[in-house]
Amino acid sequence: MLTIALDAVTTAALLFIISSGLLIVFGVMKIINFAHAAFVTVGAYAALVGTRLGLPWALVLPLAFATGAACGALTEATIVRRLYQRPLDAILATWGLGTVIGQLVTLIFGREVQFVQAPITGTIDLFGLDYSAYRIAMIAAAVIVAVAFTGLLSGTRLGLSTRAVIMNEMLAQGLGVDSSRVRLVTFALGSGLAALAGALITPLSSVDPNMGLPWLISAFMLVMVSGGSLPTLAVSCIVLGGLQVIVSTFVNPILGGLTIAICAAIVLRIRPEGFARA
Amino acid sequence: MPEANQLSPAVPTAIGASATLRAMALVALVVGAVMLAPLMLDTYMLNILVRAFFVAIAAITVDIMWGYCGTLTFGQSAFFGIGVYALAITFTEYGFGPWQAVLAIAAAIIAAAAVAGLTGWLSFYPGSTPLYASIVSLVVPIVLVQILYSGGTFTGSSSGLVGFETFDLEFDNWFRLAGLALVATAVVALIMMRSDTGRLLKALRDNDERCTYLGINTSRYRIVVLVLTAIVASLAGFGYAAFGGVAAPENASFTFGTRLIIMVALGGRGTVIGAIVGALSIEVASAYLSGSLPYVWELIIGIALITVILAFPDGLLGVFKRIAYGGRPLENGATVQLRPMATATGTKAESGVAIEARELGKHFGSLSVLDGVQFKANRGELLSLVGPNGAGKTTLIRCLSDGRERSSGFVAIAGHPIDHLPPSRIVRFGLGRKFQAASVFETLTVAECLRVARTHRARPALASTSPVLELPAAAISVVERSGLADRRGEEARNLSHGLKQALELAMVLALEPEVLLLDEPTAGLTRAERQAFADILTSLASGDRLCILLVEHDLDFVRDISSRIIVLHQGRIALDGSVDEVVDSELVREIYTGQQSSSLRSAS
Amino acid sequence: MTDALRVEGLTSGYGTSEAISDVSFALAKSEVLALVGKNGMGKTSLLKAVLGFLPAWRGHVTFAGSDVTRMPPHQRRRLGLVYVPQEHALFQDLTVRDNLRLGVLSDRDLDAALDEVGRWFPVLARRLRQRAGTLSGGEQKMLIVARALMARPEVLLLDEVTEGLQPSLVDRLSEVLTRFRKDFGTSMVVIEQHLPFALGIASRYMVFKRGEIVDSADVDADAEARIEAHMRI
Repeated sequence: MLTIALDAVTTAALLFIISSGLLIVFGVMKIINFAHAAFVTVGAYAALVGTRLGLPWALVLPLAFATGAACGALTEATIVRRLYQRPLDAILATWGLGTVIGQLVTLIFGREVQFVQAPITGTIDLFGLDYSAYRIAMIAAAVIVAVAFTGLLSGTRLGLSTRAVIMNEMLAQGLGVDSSRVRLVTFALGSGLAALAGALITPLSSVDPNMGLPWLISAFMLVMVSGGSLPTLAVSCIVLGGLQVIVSTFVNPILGGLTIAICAAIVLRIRPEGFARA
Repeated sequence: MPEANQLSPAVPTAIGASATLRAMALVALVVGAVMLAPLMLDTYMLNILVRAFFVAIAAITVDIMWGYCGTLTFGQSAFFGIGVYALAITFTEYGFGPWQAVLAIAAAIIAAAAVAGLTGWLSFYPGSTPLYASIVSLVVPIVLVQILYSGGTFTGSSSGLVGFETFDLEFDNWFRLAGLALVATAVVALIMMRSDTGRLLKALRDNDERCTYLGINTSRYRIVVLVLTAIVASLAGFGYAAFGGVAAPENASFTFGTRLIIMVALGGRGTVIGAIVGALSIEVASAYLSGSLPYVWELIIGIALITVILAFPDGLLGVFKRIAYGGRPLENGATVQLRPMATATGTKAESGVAIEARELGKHFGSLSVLDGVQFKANRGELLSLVGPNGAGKTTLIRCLSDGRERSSGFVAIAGHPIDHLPPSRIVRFGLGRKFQAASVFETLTVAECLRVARTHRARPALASTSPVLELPAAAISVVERSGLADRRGEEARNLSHGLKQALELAMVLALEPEVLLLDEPTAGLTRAERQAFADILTSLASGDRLCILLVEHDLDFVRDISSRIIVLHQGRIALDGSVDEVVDSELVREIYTGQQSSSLRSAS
Repeated sequence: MTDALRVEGLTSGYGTSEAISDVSFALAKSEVLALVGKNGMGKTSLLKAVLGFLPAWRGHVTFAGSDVTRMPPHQRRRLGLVYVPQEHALFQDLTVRDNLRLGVLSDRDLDAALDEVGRWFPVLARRLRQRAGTLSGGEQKMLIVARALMARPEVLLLDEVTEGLQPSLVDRLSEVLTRFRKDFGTSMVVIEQHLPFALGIASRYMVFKRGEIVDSADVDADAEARIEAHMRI
């Protein structure tokens, strides 16, 4: 029972780390970034390169974030910027970009599966239960991401401008906010978070050029259900992530993998605003 | 009223006939090529093309969903996969034979239709967004593939099903069969998309809300289209598996679904032919290139997709058309003859209560936008609704025309309580609503827009475009007086603002409404256009006995045409009376100059 | 001396529909201009075109001596062209303080500006932590005006600030704006239905009808009567 509870919380933590970047991009630009999965992969390979070079994890994570953010900024400036009026086309163009990144990664690193050693190994004794220490660390990581994110949005000038653009872009512009710069920074930030998530999950899973893809659908559905708010996203991750663990354990793992997508689709059908303001 | 058919003389049908002849000659040529091609191509190429033909059929279904109906769907691969597995599972379990083949086809059709029906119910409901429908379409193939993976020996799990006995045909004949199936699908799709029903689908894509307010149940149309395209895609998959003798989870995958979209995007969306061009070129090229340059080929596809989306949204076919025709607008519907209807479809009451609102309220949380609004309006009345910005005028219009909008109170239109009905149902009670910003179908011609407006009275033709469009006299009159009659073959997006407003009014009148709601119809019109509008409205009220409720800022305009005025202030009715009573009242002057009297403050 | 704001032959609109036609006027430093006329006549559209929210189809906008016709709105604000919109002028879900923070371009200027706001509208200083949406209508208007004044604008464009305000607040607003103009030499364009307020602070008026200026003169004792003649139903 305790294992299931811990699995649920750590799964929710992972989901949260991966979908928060998607959420901020969707919130500001009303665009779903299909290259998000590719940025997760980029982060994972950045971590792979970093650890191979013998860098400490304290440097590997910023390296992954910076690589993802740089890719994101480039993407926004060259592709996404021209498609704000055509959101469905933006999905396709970012999907195309995802393919391009995936193939570039394959060309450079090969398509074989590779592994990264976790910075924290072993198990922790928790209420008389041995549990993977790294998975516990994921919970801390999710909390840090949530706190940093909230701090950035509510504490800084940039965060204030971003929230202003989300709420009323025209009014924000009238007050001197450069909304195109906000979009660029937001997209870079979201992509950086995707890469950071990629780096964080590498020790738990293998690294391969298509590793980001399985996470993509769950992340989309969580973002859609959460209606663009960070606290609601956290709640959605816990509820639907927990459900996923329960279904995987008691019914079957394959159905478990589909829980989030199916539940979210049904929730949105019944309540188009999702879990927001529930 | 001028005789409409005088102004739009019957056009010789010879032009239409010769176009049909040309099209038939072209189809015959293509069919001939398909029959002869196997004699000239090697086995490898035939093999690739047979598969490509089946894939192209699936790509056509994506084009119909996306290019024509406006739903970007990743899910057609799931239906293709259902066809593939219907055949593979039936033949593996029961062996090959005539009744097994019938069973497999039936399974392919029924399973695809059932899954599509469910997907459609999830994707399309009043208020659903295109983005949400896209996301649901993404989930379908993913779920299906996971089910296939977990199906054990029944579905063959990740390795799929092979080695079952299937139809035994020569390569040449497979080619002819697949080729003819593709040509047939394309011809049927083109005929249907160019028919009046096809225009209706484009109307859904252009402006779902306008369709709803024309009494069209848009969700139902979208679900029906999804089910039909799903069946076609499933049959394409059936053919694909029958030829290849293999069923693999990739056939149903989300990756294949995106590949289909890429084909349509590259070829040119909304053209049918573009889907075929895209599918054939990608399938053939990838057969040759993916072996020698596996990753580079995927890379090229990705880059090509980005380039096409950014630089050539119309795809290869669009580029070709631009070069060939130099952007010359193709006229459609110029030959349509407008004709006044012989008789009114219903016997109309000349008088009676047309709108009734009791204790109508609308609240957002603690904020109350409308409160205790109560009035009746009769046939033949031209009632104006005035008040400062934010008084709740547009909200009131919305609450009268959509049963799900109001928070409290009772509304009846032409004697029918609107309960919580959607606009498409209320329109059938006799309601017509014209929006504030001209809301028409931008890519449809004037005549097509008007025909879509008649959908709920006259079912559009499935396979042809009718040369005659019958409209109620009031709609004809607007079309003639505004000058739209001479431009009926032109796309609505090329019309001036004033003509768009007139077109929307004509569309609403084509519904034969008893109640007409108009939200600032004269905003942005020239003086002459406004005068014409005023004349039309007064004749509709006095001559056709319509009940008109008009929201208007311009008190000059209101005074000239109204029979009664309601003043709305801060969500309540502040005054309800004749033109003279209201216009000369101290209260109105105060509201409009911002000097609130004590009486007003206590009322709010 | 150059004009604070000069508009020459400005024509603009929405989509294909023209909202303002060939409008020209100039605003001197520390001058207040009242823009009056009935609803739906294009007054707000004129402000939006001056601010860059509506593209100029023809004509020029010159501000602080340079041509800003093609400059995006946020840069015009940074030069000192500040707008008080009539609707959706507040971030309802942000606190009063965060709304005010958006009034200054850098957080460094915030504390000094907040002190000033406290002097103009003491009630706001007591409600800094409150969500802006929970303020009363009058307080929300004060917040919007305060946020605009904090920016120390060169030119201030006010769209119907007195709408829905009780008379005592209208008087207070008139007082604050007049003092602000004297202290800082700010020029203003005021769109108003409330004529006594508008003519109380303006030195010149312009009557707008169907996207064009139909009358323009200095404010004198007969101004209100002349304007009412234009606006009569």
